[in-house]
Amino acid sequence: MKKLLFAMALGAILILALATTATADNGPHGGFNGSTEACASCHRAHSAISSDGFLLVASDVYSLCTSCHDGTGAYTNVVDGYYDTAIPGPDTHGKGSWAGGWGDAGYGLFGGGFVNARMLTDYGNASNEGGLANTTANAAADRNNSLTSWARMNAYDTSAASPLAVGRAATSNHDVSTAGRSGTVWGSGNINAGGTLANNWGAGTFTGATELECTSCHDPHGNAGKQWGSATGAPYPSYRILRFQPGGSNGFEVAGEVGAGAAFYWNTAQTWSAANGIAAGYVGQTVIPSVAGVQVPDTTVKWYSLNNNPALDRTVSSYSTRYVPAAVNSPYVANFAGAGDYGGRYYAYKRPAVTAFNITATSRVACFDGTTMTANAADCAGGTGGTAFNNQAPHDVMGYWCATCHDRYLAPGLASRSTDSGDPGYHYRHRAGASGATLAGAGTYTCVDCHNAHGTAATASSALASNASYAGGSVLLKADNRAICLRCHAGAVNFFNVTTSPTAPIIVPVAAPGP
Amino acid sequence: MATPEINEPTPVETEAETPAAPPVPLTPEEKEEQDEKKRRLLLLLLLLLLVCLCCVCGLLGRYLIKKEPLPNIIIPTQVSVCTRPAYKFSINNVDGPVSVALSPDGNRIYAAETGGSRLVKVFDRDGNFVTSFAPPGTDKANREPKYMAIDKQGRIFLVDRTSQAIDIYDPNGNLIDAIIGQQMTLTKYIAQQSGGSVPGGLIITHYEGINKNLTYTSDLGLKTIHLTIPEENYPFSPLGLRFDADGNLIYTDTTTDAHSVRVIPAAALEGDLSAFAPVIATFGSEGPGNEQFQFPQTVVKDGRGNFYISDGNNARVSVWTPERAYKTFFGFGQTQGALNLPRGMWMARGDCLVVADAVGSTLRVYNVSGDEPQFAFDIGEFGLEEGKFNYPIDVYIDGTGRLYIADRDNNRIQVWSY
Repeated sequence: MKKLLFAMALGAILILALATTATADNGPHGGFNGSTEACASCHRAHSAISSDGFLLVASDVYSLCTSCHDGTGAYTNVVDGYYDTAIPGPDTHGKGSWAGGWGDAGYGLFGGGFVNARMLTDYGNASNEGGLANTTANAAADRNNSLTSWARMNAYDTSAASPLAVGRAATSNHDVSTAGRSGTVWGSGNINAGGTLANNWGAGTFTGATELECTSCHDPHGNAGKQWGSATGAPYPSYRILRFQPGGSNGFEVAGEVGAGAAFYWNTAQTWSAANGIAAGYVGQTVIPSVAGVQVPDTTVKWYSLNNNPALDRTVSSYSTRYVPAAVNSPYVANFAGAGDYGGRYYAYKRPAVTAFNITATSRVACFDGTTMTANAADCAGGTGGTAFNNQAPHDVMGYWCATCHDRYLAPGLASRSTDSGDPGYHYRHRAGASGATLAGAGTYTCVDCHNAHGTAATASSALASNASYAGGSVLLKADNRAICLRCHAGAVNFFNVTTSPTAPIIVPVAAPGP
Repeated sequence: MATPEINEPTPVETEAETPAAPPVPLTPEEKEEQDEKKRRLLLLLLLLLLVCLCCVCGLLGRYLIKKEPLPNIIIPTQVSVCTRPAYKFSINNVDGPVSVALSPDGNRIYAAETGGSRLVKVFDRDGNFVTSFAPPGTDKANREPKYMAIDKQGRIFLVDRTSQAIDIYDPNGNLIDAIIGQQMTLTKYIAQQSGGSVPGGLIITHYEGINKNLTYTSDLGLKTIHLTIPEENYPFSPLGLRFDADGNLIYTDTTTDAHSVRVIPAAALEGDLSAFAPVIATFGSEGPGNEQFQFPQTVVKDGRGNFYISDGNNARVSVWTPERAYKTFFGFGQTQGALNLPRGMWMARGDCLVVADAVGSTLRVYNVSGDEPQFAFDIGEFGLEEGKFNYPIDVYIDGTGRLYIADRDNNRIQVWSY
């Protein structure tokens, strides 16, 4: 018994000792300090339940996350896809009359929900679900006011006239639930030795040891308010706690700590030295901040940034799940010595990276050498070694982000849209992100402009992507059928004016025939 | 030479044995009477044995024909439930049960689902499905049942997070009312719309709390209205529900930045609620401090009237006096009996507090009858097998010593007994 008690006490001490300090992130996902108890909320050194190596107190990540994010312990209900908040004051349509808007009671989450989602997917049809009226003003707002209007698709609209979407069953989702662990990744998969795709669909399969789960995109330990776009000043708490990059992505947090002691972010290049705890082979590597980040619309604009240094990223990944002595002064190691706010960074790289999927360092990037698809990074234009992402504007970072799994999305052809990538999944594809001169800048389109990260309630009368296995074929789109196109191409006259459509004059849509 | 003294045993006086009198020979009549008595006794014993045999055979036969749990024949007990219960059986026809409650007579088990069709399913005492219900006119994507409590009249009070309301059903599952604000119910709203009184023959036919649309029929006909709830009814964001012994409804409120415990007096809940105007007692605020809560879940009271609040995200049980003054907390930390994520609770006889520790996948039992709460033992552990838990979220103990546990991620209601 004494031994047991001793072991328990030792475990408790270890749990406490392994904590870091932070105040930048909200709720249980941050604010750790040297006397935190928060670790034990999710992990147990001796009495964990999960068998995934992370010593979770629940059977799996999804169960752990939804133990709170199901409406019983958090304001973001990811199961039903809405803000489960209640703000003191009158309530109409589930939304307070005080303001209304993103994050307000009852409004849909930007990423939708895994089981249900609250969305106005019948885009522009005022007669159905109280959607937006087809007016010039609405169309203009929805097209040009890129950040705020986009919310309409998910019933975030700040307009008092806009109704709250009701919940509907998700028609497709990212399979992170217990039952959805094995599946396929659209536009993923290795390229075989012959330089061709393994199959026409190219669906990568999860290995038995890996899973898509909440923590693939979110860091439960916080990201220290990390956000790009804020060159100066303190970072904002980022309640989304998105990872700086998802595990395995081609990027690394930009270097150069600013404001240590109160808050920090990175905005300058830094050359790694041995003191950073980097493996010897990477000493001297320079980590360069991205020229721009990914802007995710939110109550407060937040930026998430990536950089292109896959070699370093893979090095960092080698630290996954490893507890590094506090004495090592490295940005991803807990640092008890100072009083600084280091929350999140210690944990940011704990997840296995490249090896998380059945993708190797050389095969994960699809390049086009002018004739065939290839996995050889050296064949990629302008890239050898770690700069294999071909033909991509460096600031198309959300594309990179999602391409962690949907890796063949990065096959060439994006900029011109007239170059056959050679990839059956991505022959000629729509540009995304801030790529291209005419679309450069903040707030242009990325993957999440058209797709929900969690799940969507949109419906499709036919399969939107051939061979897609998703229920209803909705492939995480935010609008029914092809209505997502109207997001930008509101006027048929300019529908094919792909070069200028984001700034083209709007032609008011023709109203649908009435009943 | 002295002769050693020999202690001779003291003679024990014994009754003089008298020779037994020779048995008096029985007369043939007496002998026959005695034999007859023996025969009757034997016959009676045989009869009793036969009855017992028949009972056993009957039960065995029933079990073989229909393999369901045998009826509980435990009579109401006064045994303190600080003793360990034993697993009995499970009700498996539920999808992600989030709460469980019993009718006042103990013959109906109500389980609210958070998965599947999100119904409230009703079972008999043996676990046989009886019926199910949900807010009329809603689909599963627009209802989100959470905690549940049943009053002495058998009315079922059920929190719906989607509606941000406490729906009220009769024992048959008919929606009869809902508390939609601190001072507002559906019937009160209808009464205000109908000249001050509830029209006769009122039946709610459609209630979508998410968009505050209500349709009902009455002697005045069919009517659809949109609820515009006056400001004085907020904040109102109920989550946990329990009735205390006096019939007061205690609910937890998770209004943003204003988490608290609120008590609706029993008097305000008597009869119909068309004049609902309770004086609600409130205590606590949001935060990690002693007098604060972070997503408080359920509230129960001990025999002395102290309040026990499962303070979910603070991973503890908070204790407040009958006068609603903060007293202490327990269950937080790393020691034995520490809580991970406390959810539903029940105060059993002898002031034994049973706490469903959801991510701990166990029920933690504390003896709170003394000055200091004492951890007693755990009930069950994580697992998928019979008698093990995977996210137990709510518990109910009836008067016969049965425990009903909503074993959410195992999709079942477990029944244990003392």
